[in-house]
Parts: sequence; C-alpha cells; structure tokens
Amino acid sequence: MKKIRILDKTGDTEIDFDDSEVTAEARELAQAAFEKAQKGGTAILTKRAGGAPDKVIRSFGEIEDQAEAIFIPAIVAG
Amino acid sequence: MWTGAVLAAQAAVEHEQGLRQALANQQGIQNADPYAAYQNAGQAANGRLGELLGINGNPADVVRIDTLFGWAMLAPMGTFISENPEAKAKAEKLLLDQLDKAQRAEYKESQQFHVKSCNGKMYKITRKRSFNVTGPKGECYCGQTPDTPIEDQMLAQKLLLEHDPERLFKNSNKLAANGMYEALINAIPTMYDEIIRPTPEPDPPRRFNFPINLVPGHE
Repeated sequence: MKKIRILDKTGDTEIDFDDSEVTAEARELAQAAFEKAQKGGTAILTKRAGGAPDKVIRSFGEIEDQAEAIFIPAIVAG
Repeated sequence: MWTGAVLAAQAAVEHEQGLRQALANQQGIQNADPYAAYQNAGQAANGRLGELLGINGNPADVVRIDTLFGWAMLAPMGTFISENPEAKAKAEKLLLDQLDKAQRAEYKESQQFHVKSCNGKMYKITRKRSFNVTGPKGECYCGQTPDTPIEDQMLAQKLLLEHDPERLFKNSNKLAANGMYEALINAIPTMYDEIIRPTPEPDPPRRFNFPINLVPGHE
C-alpha cells in the first residue's frame, strides 16, 4: 500500500492506495493531489523501505510501496 | 543626495522598530489581535516615513510604501486560520513522527529543533508563524504555509531545508542578523530614485563654432 499525506488546514489529509482496482478512486484522488502539489508545492517521499533516504519526487509513479509521500503546499513569504 | 539617503535610512530603522514591537506584542499577548498590531505599527511607521520623505497626503505614495512592507499585512494572516485544536494535535503528531530522536527531544523541551540542511548548514526552526527559521549567521527567514497549522509549517520547512532549501529561501522574506529587512535595504536605492531624486541639471547650451571664413560678410 502507498500513502500520501497532504498538509492542509485539518493537519493533513491521508490517502492510501495501491495499483489494484479496489483503490482506483483513491489513486485518482492521490494523483490529482499530486498534480496540484506540483504547482508551486513540493512532494517528498519519506519512510522508504530499507531506511532509504527521503527524496523529492517529480512524478506520481515515484511513490513507493510502504513509503509516505508528504505533499507540501506552496511556501508564501510572510 | 546624502541627506536624502540618511533620512531614508532613518525612516527604515524607525519602521523596523515599529514592526519589531508589533512582533513582540504578537508573541507576548496570545489572544491579542496581531493583525491590528501590525497595521498600527505599519501605519505609524509609514506616516513617519512619509513625513521624512515629504510625501504625506499622497495616497499613491502611501500605497507604494505599503507595497514595500506588504509582508507586514500578510505575515499574521495564518495566525487566524489553523487554530483548530484537533488539526494542531494531528499536525504535531505528524511532525513528531518525522523528527529524529534528538529533534523530538529538543522540540518537547523548547518547542524548537535544529535541522542540518543539504547545503551543509544548520538551521533552527521555532514553533511560531513568522520568521521562525534561523540560519547559522543569525538571519531569519519567513516562509509560511498559511493554510496549515504551525506544526505543519515546521514540518514543511524541515523537509525543504533537507531536500530543496532554495525553494524555501526564494519564497521567504529574510531578516538580516543586524535586524534589518533585506528587502527594505535593497529597496532604499529604489526609494531614493523614485521619491527623493534631485532635479536633474539642465543640459548645457549647445555651441557651434563655425570657421570664421564661412560666416557671410567675413573674408
């Protein structure tokens, strides 16, 4: 199972999905969120298998099983 | 020219003091209205700046000055969103989950933690909304995620420092270690050019020197 966390006003919104048909709707939601995050935001893959280091991901396909992708909204100068 | 530059610098310092006071008020009084504090400080400082620059009463000039200090209006906006305790608790849980053991201990003790950036430098992230990232030379950065709880903002800053610091820095306002806003320091020459530039001297009269033997009547 793959997991994304979108940082938002609720703290974060979590979506779990995999490549099966059962989670097709969740996968679509996750992909839409990823595309939104790419517009000014950043997606970082954390908690990767085998203790691999975190990394910035540029495509939805880079999200790995058992890892958590955190979608950071655009940073605004305060 | 130098008088103008000195006046602009003096005004900038006074503006800085006003905003620092507003920040202190925001941090010291939990339930006060920080937006109003910023506004009051900003208006007072703008008034003084306008007075020093001799442009009081011209709304267009006031707007121009407000643009320079626009962050003062934006900075506290996130304070009003994200106060939902459930959201904050959830965000803090995620933050703690992403911190390593030493960072977690530091956060629990002092509501701040240190992060080593991929650029090799250490930064401190403090649990507050504005100017909460401190660099190795004491400079502060203000890059916010205004629609999330502060704890999410801290996590975002941590992850960006570790993996894509330029994305954080290029979208942040910077307060230099000496307490001056870098954007303001950079704006002073522009302010001088636009607001207090001296009247240019007129061009010298053109002179034509014809050879004497070409002037009619002269041989």
